[in-house]
Amino acid sequence: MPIHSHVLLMVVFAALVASVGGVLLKDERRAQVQSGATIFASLIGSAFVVGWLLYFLPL
Amino acid sequence: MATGAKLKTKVPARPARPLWLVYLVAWLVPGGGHLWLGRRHKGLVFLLVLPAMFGIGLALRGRLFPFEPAEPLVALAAVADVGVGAAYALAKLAGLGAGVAGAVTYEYGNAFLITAGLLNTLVMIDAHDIALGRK
Repeated sequence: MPIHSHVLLMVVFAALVASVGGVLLKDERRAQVQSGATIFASLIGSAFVVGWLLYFLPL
Repeated sequence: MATGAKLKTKVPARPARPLWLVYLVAWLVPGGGHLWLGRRHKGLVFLLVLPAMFGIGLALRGRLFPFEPAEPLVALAAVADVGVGAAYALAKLAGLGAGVAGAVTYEYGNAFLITAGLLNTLVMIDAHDIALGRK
């Protein structure tokens, strides 16, 4: 597959996990969208936070 | 405890469909259990997203791990992979999922494959709850 963008793959992964998680956790459509958006933002946000923390670690 | 008092115990309602069959359908076809139980919207989302996730994992040259008890992490990854159901068997039969460890996307592929299986396991548990009338 010619996709080598790590960020794009991370976003696709987060979107798929968030859509399943949101639908799984809630029963009403609006709540599902909200829950999915929260999961998506959490995944992307935590990836950036952990990424920057690792950047400063002398490995 | 008062003697002679009748203990009231909640007897769960008998599910309309055999639980083992709900489990089997939900495992084989992601979302199949929900569709069968009348949760069409949820079932369709799972039916679209989980096989797509599995397919992307294969396209990214991820590996369907073998059951190797000598290597516990590999065995656990194999258990997670199997969670996606019929797609796993079809991919194995088609000779897919050999994995290319040197590929840039190899680890991403593994993450997609393993997560698809684990999410389908959660979906199976949800179908179980619906079948029991808890949701």
